[in-house]
Amino acid sequence: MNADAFWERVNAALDQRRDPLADPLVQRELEGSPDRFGELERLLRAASKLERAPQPARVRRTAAALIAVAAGAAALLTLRHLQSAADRPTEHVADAAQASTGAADFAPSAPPGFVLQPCIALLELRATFTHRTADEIREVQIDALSDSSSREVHRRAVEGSAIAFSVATIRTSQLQP
Amino acid sequence: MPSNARPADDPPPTLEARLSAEAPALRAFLGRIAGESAARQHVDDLAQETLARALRYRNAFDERRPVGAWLRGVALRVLIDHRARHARSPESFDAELHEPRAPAVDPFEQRDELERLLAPLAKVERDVLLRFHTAGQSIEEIAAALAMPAGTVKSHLHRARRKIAERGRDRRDTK
Repeated sequence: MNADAFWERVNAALDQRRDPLADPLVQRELEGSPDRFGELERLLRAASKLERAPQPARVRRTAAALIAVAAGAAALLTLRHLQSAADRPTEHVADAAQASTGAADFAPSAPPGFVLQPCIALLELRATFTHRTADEIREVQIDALSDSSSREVHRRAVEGSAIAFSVATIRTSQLQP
Repeated sequence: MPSNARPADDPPPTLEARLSAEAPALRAFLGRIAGESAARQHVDDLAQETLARALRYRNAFDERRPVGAWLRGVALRVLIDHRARHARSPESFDAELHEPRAPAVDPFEQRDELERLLAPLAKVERDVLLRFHTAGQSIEEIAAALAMPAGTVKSHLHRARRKIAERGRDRRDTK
């Protein structure tokens, strides 16, 4: 059997997803020309590696799913941080309301250990959260497209009619440690 | 009736007995494949491992087929596995023959290895090879996906395999 006939036999077995090593003709040829064993061995090891390799389409699907999950997780964490930032400056709002009944801009100081990360992955995210309590309505507007990461609007009802109104704009750059 | 024929009411020989009868031919076969340089002890160890593996996977043996061809197929697999382990850790040659280790599964290492493997192939050869061996597509499915005749797919596939098989030989020749 010449080399071409040998490889034809090997390829025919592989094409039918059979083990070429189980073919008596291949065995006989290997016994007569042991130098061919190295080549066949290399091919079979390569085929085995290829069969164990992840499928390209599966890799793409997995990567897309992981990115989606990571983006979702990042969005959730960011929103929770922003909500917690919105909750914490209420004392400042109350103080501001006591000091002045008009609108006042202020930049609340970041609570210790609080770091608001820029939302690079959330460029399309715009959301408004409204939190109502017995005497207060708080709105948190989040716009990842603008320089400011969130805008808070606090309304405080005083004896049912008077309104104290504050607007706070949190800039991510100011919250970096 | 020939003198060596088995009477009809005799129980058929067990697989163990048939394997034992094949052992000398198996050693000779392994000796020729492993090469003249292979030590006798090494060949004996490989033969023992082959017999042990054959018994371990006895359910895969079709009793209607000759045991010798099946055993030689197992022996070639044992030899390939043994060489792969030996290439990874030459110092533990004997120990690993009896206690084989699982291959490394570092995904980055695997990806690099795959890239090296496919490097000498043309784009269409690489595509066909990956579709057949990795994605598990049939020749006909690949032909339909790539809009080419099945014969052309086979040609690309066979050429790709041949290139991979002969690559190491080329590298050895240039050393």
